[in-house]
Amino acid sequence: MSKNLSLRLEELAQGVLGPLVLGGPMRPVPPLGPQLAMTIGEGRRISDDDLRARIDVARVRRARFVAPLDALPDISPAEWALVAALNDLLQATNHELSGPFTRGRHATLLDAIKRLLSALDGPRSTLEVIVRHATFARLLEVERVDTLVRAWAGSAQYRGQDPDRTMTFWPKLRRVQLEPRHVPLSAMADGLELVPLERFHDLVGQLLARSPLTDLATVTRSAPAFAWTQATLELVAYPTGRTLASRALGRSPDQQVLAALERATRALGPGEASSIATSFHREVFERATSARV
Amino acid sequence: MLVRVALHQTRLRTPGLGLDAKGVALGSRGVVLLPSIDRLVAFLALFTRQASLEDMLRTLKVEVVKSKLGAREVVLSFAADGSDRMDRVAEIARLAGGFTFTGTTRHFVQYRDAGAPFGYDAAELLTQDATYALYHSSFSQIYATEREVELKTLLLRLQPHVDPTTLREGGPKWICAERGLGPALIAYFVRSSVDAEVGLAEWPPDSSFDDSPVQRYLFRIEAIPARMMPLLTSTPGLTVLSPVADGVAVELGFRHPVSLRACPVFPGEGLVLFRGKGEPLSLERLPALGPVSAFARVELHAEGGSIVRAQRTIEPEGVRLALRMVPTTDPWRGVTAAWVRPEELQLLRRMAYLLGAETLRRATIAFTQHGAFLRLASGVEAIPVGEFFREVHPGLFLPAGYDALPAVSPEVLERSIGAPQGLVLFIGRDARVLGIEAAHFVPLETALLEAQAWALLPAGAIEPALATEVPRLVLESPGFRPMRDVEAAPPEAAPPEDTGAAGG
Repeated sequence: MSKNLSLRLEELAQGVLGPLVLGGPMRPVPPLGPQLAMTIGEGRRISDDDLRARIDVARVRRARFVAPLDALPDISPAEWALVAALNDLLQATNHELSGPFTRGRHATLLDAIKRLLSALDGPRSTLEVIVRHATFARLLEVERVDTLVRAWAGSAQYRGQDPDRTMTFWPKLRRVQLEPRHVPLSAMADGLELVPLERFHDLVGQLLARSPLTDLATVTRSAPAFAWTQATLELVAYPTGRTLASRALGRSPDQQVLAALERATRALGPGEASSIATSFHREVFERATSARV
Repeated sequence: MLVRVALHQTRLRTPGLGLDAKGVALGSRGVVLLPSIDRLVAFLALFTRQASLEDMLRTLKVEVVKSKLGAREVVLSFAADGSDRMDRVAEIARLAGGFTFTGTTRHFVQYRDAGAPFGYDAAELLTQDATYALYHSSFSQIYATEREVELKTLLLRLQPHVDPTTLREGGPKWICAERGLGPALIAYFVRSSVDAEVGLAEWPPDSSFDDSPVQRYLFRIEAIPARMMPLLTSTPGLTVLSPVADGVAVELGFRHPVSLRACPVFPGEGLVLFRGKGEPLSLERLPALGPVSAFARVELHAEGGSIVRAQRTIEPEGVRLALRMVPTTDPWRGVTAAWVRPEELQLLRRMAYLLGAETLRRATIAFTQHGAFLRLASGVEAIPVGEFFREVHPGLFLPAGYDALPAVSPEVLERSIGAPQGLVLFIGRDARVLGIEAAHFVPLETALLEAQAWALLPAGAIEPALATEVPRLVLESPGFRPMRDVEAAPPEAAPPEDTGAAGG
């Protein structure tokens, strides 16, 4: 912890939280680790008033998709810890994190993220459910642009970086071709053998599970596939939470939502969890079929 | 010391005591002896719940008195004005733990009770010189006045009680905002089209070290929208107050112990704001109040624009102008209708699932070949679909953000259209007038259940409301010793292949 915590929080807000909520270039900060992540948000807030106000406005706008709120509380320490977990997760996919003799850094960082996420609980109130969704609703919208540069003398691949000028000069003469490829969050570990894909998906899923409304709102995602968690089951188990979940699902195609919910419900064993999931699935099914009249 | 007054008794010993028409012993003044200020407040609270102090206020006097033994008690004296008033006062004083007396100058005897329906007379008078000589069936005591308590000061010193039921009360409200919050609140009200008046009030500085007066913004709102209440009542620096009487307001969530409506001690031209926590704020005179809409964003035409002046006037030759609609910067008011064109109907259909029961019940809709027309008297913003219209005259709608040109009054505009009664008229941006039979508007919830023709339109994806930039990850070198803040996992928890692999 060489730097002042307030400074680290400010970097995290500028580099990760701001782009996550507002969009734009996201520049992760050096990994924070579980200990720092759990303490970085305690008693601190973003000191840049302009950034804080813009983030607040965007969060309220996002929250209004599901509930008529005019104001949201500040980012809580738990949310800061989740932002730190996202930062570390993105850094784990950074090929520049390690060198030839420090390949173990990726695995160490993945272990640290797992410990951090297991120490964080799901939301404890309806307001907290909405607040977390307002902050992390765009989690799966994060993408990376990889660029393949082809020229007459060869080709080069750039992961999340602009191509080197040495590869792009005299574009006409050297027949330079740029092929950008948009990589979603779920595929960011592709091509990096140091980060096992299943493990990466597992951590993304755990991060999503800490914001159950976001988890449900992105139920149609391809990877990591939606699975019922304790937080999502708790959310749809009571009327207000079920209403929020229905509103969040309302923005996705009915057929895909139903298919994802059915697959996740079938994966549950018999028991109370299964009955809650089944009743919610039936409710979504009835609404979808009645809407098609 | 006291004797009961008998029926048809004509002479009484106590000076200043007489018999009224009913034969009850009564002086010109009544006195209530209360053991403490707390009991005085209880007496006032009980009395003002049932009757007003307005009649008694001119003669009402509250004094702290001291007996010869040094005990301090509270005396409330007032003009007796008949046994009816005295009976009511005596009942409430009994409930509040006080005694009621009657007399004229110094000697006051116990007022009548169930044991003596015609009252009491003193058998023997106390000879000591004192302000009050009180004769009760259980004691006789003299009291000297120590100090007078002004009722207004007493009411100002009383701290309001917590009463969450007042949070649900509607009606006009005052909002007192600290100076820094005022402009933001004005902008919020302007943006939300809330009718409010605002003024800047000044109070003397808190201490002699402050060289400038304390300024606060004062808002008067006829009705605060329910969705704003949580924000306004929970934001530090904002105090929402409900007027309880002329010139008096009490913070929402609190109630003054005494019914202030029954105590008209505060002048109506001023304002006293009782805050739940903190001292009350008093204004001798209300500041100048003006509508918040005066603070709305304005746009001026460029300077130097040529003004064409008429050189002379001529006789009119049957001037006829075509109606035009022009954009206006005026704030939107009375937006109570929307025109949902056929291509937007599937969006309305999806939106219907998000609407509350109240909105569905109140909204009405009419389907035409040009699309659906929605009406919602409480404001159609609750259904954010289609082109919004505002009602400028009963049954006449103009597009929100547009004004008719020439700027004739809505009555003239309606007459010029010459539409028969029972038609609801919508004037589009192209000045085309559409008329719909008012009877064709049906409740939205009915229309939804009846599966109108618009429900057969093919479903498609809703355009995302937020067209913001995508979060794009940019990978950079994390710098020297990037893992310095990440501690390695405990040895037993770490996978075997990771041992000793942590970088740093």
